[in-house]
Amino acid sequence: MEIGMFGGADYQHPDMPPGWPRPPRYWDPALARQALQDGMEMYRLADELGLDFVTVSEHHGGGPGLAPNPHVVAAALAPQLTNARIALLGPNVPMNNPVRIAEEVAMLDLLSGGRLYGVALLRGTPNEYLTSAANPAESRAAWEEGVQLILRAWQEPEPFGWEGVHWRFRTIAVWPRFLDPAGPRVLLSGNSPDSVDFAVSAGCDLAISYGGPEQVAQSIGQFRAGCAAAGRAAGPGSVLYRNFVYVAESEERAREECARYGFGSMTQFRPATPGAARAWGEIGAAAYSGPGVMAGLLRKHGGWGLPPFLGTPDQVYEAVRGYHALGVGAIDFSFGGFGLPAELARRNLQMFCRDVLPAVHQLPAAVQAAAGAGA
Amino acid sequence: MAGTALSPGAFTEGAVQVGRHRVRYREGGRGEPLAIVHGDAGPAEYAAGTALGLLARDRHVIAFELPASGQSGWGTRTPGGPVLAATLAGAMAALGVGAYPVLGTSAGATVALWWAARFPDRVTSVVLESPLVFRTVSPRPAGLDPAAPQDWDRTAGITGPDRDAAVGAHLETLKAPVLVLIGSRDGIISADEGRHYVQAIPDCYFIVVYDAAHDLQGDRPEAFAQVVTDFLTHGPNFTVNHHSTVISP
Repeated sequence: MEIGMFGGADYQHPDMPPGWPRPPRYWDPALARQALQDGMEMYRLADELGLDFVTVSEHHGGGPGLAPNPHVVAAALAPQLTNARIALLGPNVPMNNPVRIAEEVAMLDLLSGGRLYGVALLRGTPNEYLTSAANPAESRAAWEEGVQLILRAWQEPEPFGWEGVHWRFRTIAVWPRFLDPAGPRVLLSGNSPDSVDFAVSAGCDLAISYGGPEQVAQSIGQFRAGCAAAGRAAGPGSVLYRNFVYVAESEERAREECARYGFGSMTQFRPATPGAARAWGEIGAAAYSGPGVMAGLLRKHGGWGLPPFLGTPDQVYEAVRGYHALGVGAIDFSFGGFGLPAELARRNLQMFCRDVLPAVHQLPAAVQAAAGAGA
Repeated sequence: MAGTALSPGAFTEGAVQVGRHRVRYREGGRGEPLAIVHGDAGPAEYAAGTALGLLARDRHVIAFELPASGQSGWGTRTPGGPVLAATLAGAMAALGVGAYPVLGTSAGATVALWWAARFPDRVTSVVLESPLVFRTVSPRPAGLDPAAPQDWDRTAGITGPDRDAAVGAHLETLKAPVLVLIGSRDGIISADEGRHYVQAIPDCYFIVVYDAAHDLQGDRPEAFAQVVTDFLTHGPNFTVNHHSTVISP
């Protein structure tokens, strides 16, 4: 089994109220430099301590993390890593130019010497449609079209055009090409039944974020059944999962430190104004109202509580093993950020890599044969 | 594009004599001429859809019934692409049209290519909709609906072999710019075939029409008409956006 770290520059200002988007007037250059330094140090530490990959993602409006374009951060990371690969989880397709995403991912492959772990072509979190020109009600259709456009752009050997429903390009010729002609591993969201079906039809792997065991099991079961019907092998190696983790000497200490800083609760990212709250609700109802992991997360108005991977090394290992048993082959953990002090984040990462990671690495991640993998 | 589409009822029927054959057609619209060669859906469908009505808003569309199709007899053997192309070129000459673009669909795209190859001084540009000239991925499409009325042998009689060396020899000397359109969901011919046209034809533009199967005109009529109109209006410059991106002036 593989483990990665969802990192980044966690900008915090003592006077900044909770809520998203964050008002730009709380920008302090000295705090920003420190946040970036701490974030990059965590990435280097993750690499040094043996994590399999480190993750960059796309978020706007000041958080979580300073990462308006994950590819910019990945370009800065590439020369600093020795062992860990870089996961782009990921560019938000409906909010961006898909051809530019295709070009930037290919350029990152070249810059990193072919060390991309994979790229998740995502739709974006619902709130971020407040800061995007894209229409959230059309975002699913735009996402599916954009993904297919990017996949074709990566494989097409001649210039071509695209007469789409949401995009029109008359000449597409993506350079550079990938160092490995097969291209990158592509993951698509597994947070709703519709998304899982699309991942199957597109021949891509699955990325599930923050769902509980029951929801994750449902997504993986549906994914495996779909892959089996398509004659495609799918096992733990095809499924990536993301959540928070916190390791301490005792469960009590882990609980106390997480609760003190709200680590894992996501409460910092509630709507900043009553108007924003109504807009969030409309976005959720219009575009994300279907069943699945995302719908469940949107209903958690009071915060998400403590990290589900929490406690002593043994407890965290058992939690990881439980998700592995569901069919998860890789977990992208947040060891810090979201307001957790940098020193606690470092200790969390160090303890996990020392006391949990060796055993986790023994859990198999190989893709199993699709036959009989339907549940 | 502006204005409303010409309704199918606004197309008028006509016929013209070419040698021993009477060639039937439907026409509509005013402006620059555009010759249409239908595909396997057959003459019952040609000039009956929204897409040609959209094209007829600002040009004179002349949609031929392929000889040996529909009510147009020929004989016991289906004529090949070169003979059909020569017959339709004769029909356009008989109608008094000297130079014109040609749009061919599916098997009709092969006829359009032969038309451009044999009559380079008359064919100013070519649009190939879901063409069957190159069939390297699906030589005999498994995606064909057994209940559909297609007669693949007859189609193959028009298109020739899977990668017809005879028409292929003409492609590299084609003078006219060529637009190739293939649907992203086409179960008859893969969009992967588009690259072969770009590699074989000197001035060729391949466009994937998203969320359309083999019948581009039926599945995405507005998109089809838009890209074809842009190509016919601007030629190779259709690759540059001529539509305003201003939201509010």
